[in-house]
Amino acid sequence: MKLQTIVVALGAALVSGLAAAADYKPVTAERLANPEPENWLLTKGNYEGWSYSKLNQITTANVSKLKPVWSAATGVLSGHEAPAIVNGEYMFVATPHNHVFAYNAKTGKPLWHFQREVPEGIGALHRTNRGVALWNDKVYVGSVDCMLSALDAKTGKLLWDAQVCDWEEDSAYITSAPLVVKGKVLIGPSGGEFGVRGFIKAFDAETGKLAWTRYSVPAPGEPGSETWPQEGEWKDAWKNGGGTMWMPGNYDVKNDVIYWGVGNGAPWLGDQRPGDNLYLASVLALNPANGNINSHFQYHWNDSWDWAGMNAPTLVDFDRNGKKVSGLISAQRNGRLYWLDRDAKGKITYNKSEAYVHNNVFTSIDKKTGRPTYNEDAKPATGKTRTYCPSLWGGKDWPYEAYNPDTGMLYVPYNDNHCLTLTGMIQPRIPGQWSAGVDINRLDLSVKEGFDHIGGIQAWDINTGKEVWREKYAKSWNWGSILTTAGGVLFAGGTNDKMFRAYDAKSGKLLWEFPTPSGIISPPSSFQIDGKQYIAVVSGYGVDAQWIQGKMAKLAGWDEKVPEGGSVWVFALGD
Amino acid sequence: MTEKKNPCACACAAGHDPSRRSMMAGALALAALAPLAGSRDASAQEGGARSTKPEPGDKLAFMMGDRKDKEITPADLVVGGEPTLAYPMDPATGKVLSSRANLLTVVRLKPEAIGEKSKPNAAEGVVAFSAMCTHYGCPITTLHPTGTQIVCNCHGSVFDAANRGVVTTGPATRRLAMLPLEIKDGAIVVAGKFDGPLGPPQ
Repeated sequence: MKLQTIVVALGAALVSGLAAAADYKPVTAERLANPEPENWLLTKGNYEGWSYSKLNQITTANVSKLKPVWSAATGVLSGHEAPAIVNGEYMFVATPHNHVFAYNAKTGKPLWHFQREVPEGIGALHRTNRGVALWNDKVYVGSVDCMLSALDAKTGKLLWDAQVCDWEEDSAYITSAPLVVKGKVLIGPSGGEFGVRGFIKAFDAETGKLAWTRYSVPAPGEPGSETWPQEGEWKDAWKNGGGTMWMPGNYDVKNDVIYWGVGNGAPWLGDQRPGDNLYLASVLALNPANGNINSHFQYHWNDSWDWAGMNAPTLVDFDRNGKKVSGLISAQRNGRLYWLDRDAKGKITYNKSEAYVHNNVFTSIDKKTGRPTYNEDAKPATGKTRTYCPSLWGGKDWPYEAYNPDTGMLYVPYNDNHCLTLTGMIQPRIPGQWSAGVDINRLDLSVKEGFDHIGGIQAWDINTGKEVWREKYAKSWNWGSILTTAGGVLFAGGTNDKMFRAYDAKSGKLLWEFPTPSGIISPPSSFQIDGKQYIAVVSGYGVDAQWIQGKMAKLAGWDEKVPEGGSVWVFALGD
Repeated sequence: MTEKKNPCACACAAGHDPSRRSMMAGALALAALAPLAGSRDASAQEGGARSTKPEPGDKLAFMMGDRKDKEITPADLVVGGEPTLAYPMDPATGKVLSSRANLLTVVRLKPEAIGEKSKPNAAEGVVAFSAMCTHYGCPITTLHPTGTQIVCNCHGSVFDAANRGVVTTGPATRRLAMLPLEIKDGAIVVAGKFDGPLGPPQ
């Protein structure tokens, strides 16, 4: 295949002094299943998707003394959405435009740099990358031009690469971090607005050989295909039906079940693909061996709002009437917070849901199934101009929620008081071209008159189902993933004032803040070396956060943009 | 001792000289090894074959539709019409130079609407720009209600087709490169190279 031959191993060229490289502890299935507190081996810290660190040196009592230890400019623009992944003294940071930087996590000393050359002519709606994955002695990263690369963790040398998708003809591109499960690297592309039919692929972590592919939209005859048009004008809608699986999933180690989210419909207008459209806006329970679907839950049918369900739900155990119940919890883009049960076979059952932001679309929710009914006047349709809330960016976009088992709370980075007015149309599918069925000149974001905030953080008790506290940002959206720790602290960026903040996880009280050079839209992480706990985060505003900032400049007089440019920051308590 | 190199040293430098690299599938590895002096790609120098980039004398062909790969004539373009997506076409062989990096967005304006700096690159009101949005690379396909500006349908960046493709509304920050045109024997003909870098800054 053409792109298989593209080997631009720039990393190797930049490596020197290998003899001095520290030992690298291979990443195993056991380590990923039970990650040591001192490392941050997975995008969300653990397979359950908690974004929680067991480290407790930094506490609510001392976090105000947090100081920067080192920082490093990436020299890269656009939105930096990847966490610092740490294994021993190795830290790996992926950035937009296909870079991976390796640093000594303690000192910030650069170890190596890899870049896959970005092909001329590529178009992508989001120029970002959400991080690397680790296995054995390798680092895995997806590229905007559809490749999955395996790098030598100690040198950055390219070991193999595999084609995941096709950017030239299909207009797919990768932003997701890979997820490694039992020796396979799983990753799926973005491209729902370009008419990409979503999928994830699993590759052998050692060889790069394709193990399986799971499409999110069934082909005719496959289970679920009956929820797509069978005949008439839209009978081929499934071919470009969207449902991209563009965020890494979570994994139930004990029961060997992967939970992976499925994105929005393509085009956005549901009347161009009448039916429920499985498995759009759903979570799939998958068998890691072959990608087979054990079960699913669809958050809303016939998605017409770009309310992608790509955020995999967080795996938790609920305390229900004194009994421990295995479940899933997830703040979805459609503005509802879902409590789902899961059994040992991965069967997902709806328990309940609550609105966590204003939604003018759902008129009722079936108590047994969670299935919504719709206000048709707020459902975008071909040839119609419709207004709906929350806007396409949802109550929460891709930034990670966090779960702290010590407080029993789920922390949700959210945005409220925003709506969207759009006019549906039929758009031709042109390679690289937006074909979501909406005229970009008439895609109008609006905010509630007299709004007191847009962004914020909500803390929900997962057992009582009640909101406990809320932080509101009067003059910013929130694009920041959350980290919470055993020290009772919650770390978050996400605002346009470029601050990195620490809160009391129990009360929501602001304890510390630090201004970084750009805005923070990358997930914070925590690690420990030589007995000292560190907090890492990457500053680097861009992508949709910046796009929205430009819209808010016109709507509310906010600054037109946040300065771009990536930098890695590492903090610790003073000696 | 390790040394971190400017992360942009390789890709960005290359990206700023669009003539350097072929976009032919699979050729990137070779391109990375090619001499860095700004010049036509190796095939043009050694074999006498033409570049894969638009060259003076090339004609324009429809990118899609009923007349895909057929020549675009002045009569095909009307003032107020949506941009036409086009590829350069080798007049000698009729070969269409189809690649994302060669994609052009072509519109016809009233000649009097065209600014002084753009006039030399326009032909009877017809102007051509790189269709790659300088924000994230989506093709430019929509005419703005003003009739003289063109819009990227991915994030809504707006460019002034009457004035060198400059950005009038972000998020893009870099203007669109213009491809000079002229009318020869009644045909639209490329009259020069792109007058700026293509696509987004890397």
